[in-house]
Amino acid sequence: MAGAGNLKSRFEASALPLMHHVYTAALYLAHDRAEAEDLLQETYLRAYRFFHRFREGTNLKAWLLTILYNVLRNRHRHRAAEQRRIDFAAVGEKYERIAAAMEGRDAPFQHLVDGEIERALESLPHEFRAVVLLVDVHELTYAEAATALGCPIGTVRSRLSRARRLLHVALHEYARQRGIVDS
Amino acid sequence: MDCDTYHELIVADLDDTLSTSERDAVRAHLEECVVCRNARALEAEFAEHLRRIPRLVETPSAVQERLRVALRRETMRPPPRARPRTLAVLAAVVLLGALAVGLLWPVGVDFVGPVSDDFRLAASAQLPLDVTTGDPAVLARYFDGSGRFGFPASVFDLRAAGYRLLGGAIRRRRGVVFAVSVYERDGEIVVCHRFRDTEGSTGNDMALRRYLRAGDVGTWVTRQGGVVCCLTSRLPPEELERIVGMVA
Repeated sequence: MAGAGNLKSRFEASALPLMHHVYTAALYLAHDRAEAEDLLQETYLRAYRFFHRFREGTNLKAWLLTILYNVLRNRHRHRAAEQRRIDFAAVGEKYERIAAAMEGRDAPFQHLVDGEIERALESLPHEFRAVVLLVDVHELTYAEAATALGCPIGTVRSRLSRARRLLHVALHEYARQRGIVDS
Repeated sequence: MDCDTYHELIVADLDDTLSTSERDAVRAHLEECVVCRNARALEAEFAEHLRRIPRLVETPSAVQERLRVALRRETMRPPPRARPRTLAVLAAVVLLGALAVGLLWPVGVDFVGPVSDDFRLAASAQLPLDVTTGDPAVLARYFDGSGRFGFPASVFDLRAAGYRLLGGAIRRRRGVVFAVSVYERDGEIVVCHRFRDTEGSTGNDMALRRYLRAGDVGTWVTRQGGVVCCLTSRLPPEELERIVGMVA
């Protein structure tokens, strides 16, 4: 069995270089710099305590992000009860109109300026933001994201699909407000 | 399948996570559905933009330093000892919990303290395990072989919930013998305590359930035929209940 010193040096060599990834994810998930810093610290302390149980050869970044998500979920248990009600039928209709209007247009997203997608992402309800963050930003596989979120792969798929539609509707709304698109 | 379901598959296809048959189904649908063709074109273009979201925000150097200090402290940390104030708060929580349990829950054994203590030890990887095994049958044989319980020890297999068994221990606390099993999933610990409670038993074999909280720790308690089972964790109650539902 590896000694404590060996464990510590392995942890420092493999987990600490991923600190910026975990911090970036914490910033997106927490919406608050101070909380993101707390989340980062708690994630790494918990990861260190359980590092002997990390399975070599698996995705360490996914493991750290899973711990981060667990820490966050435990801090915000009340969020489940606060979820916004979204009329997905209405979102679906808007999305279809947006997709139809984009048909044949070159570079339909050319109006996007820096930071708009991030702002739209931050406007998503927590569970949709998390799945986009894990899969699209941090490039976890659907299986790894499912493990991190504690849900089946099918739920990852459906949340991603809904998240994409919500993002398009939000971005279209920004474009409409700036007079780039008509309706 | 409707277009909503196809949208899920279209997004998954762009992420290259579909099986061959699913991909064929999507292609066939796209041939005949203009709405989904538009959606696919939109998503393909959008995927490129999503990839440009900054993947890395550099951790401020002060935060990095604070984390390194905290980790150094963690590596040198002696086994945790409760501070007097923490102890007083803990004692109050345990007392209130015990009172509430006595009033609301017909269990004669004061189990709240031992269960919470064991959970905190397990969560900091300091609960001594008599047997380290991932096989529930091996641990059940150990419990049964001890002859200390008077009920057949069934050790839950929580793999369906994503948890693996780390091992177990026999703990004698305040005159009561507990069969303790420890589970883990990505740093989240769930501890199961099973014990016989003849005092509180009403003789009614109907299963009873209660959820109790002590600080940030929650316990689902079930009792059947005088055997009490406590699943303790920091998980949200609904997730813990999902696990209880799997093993009930």
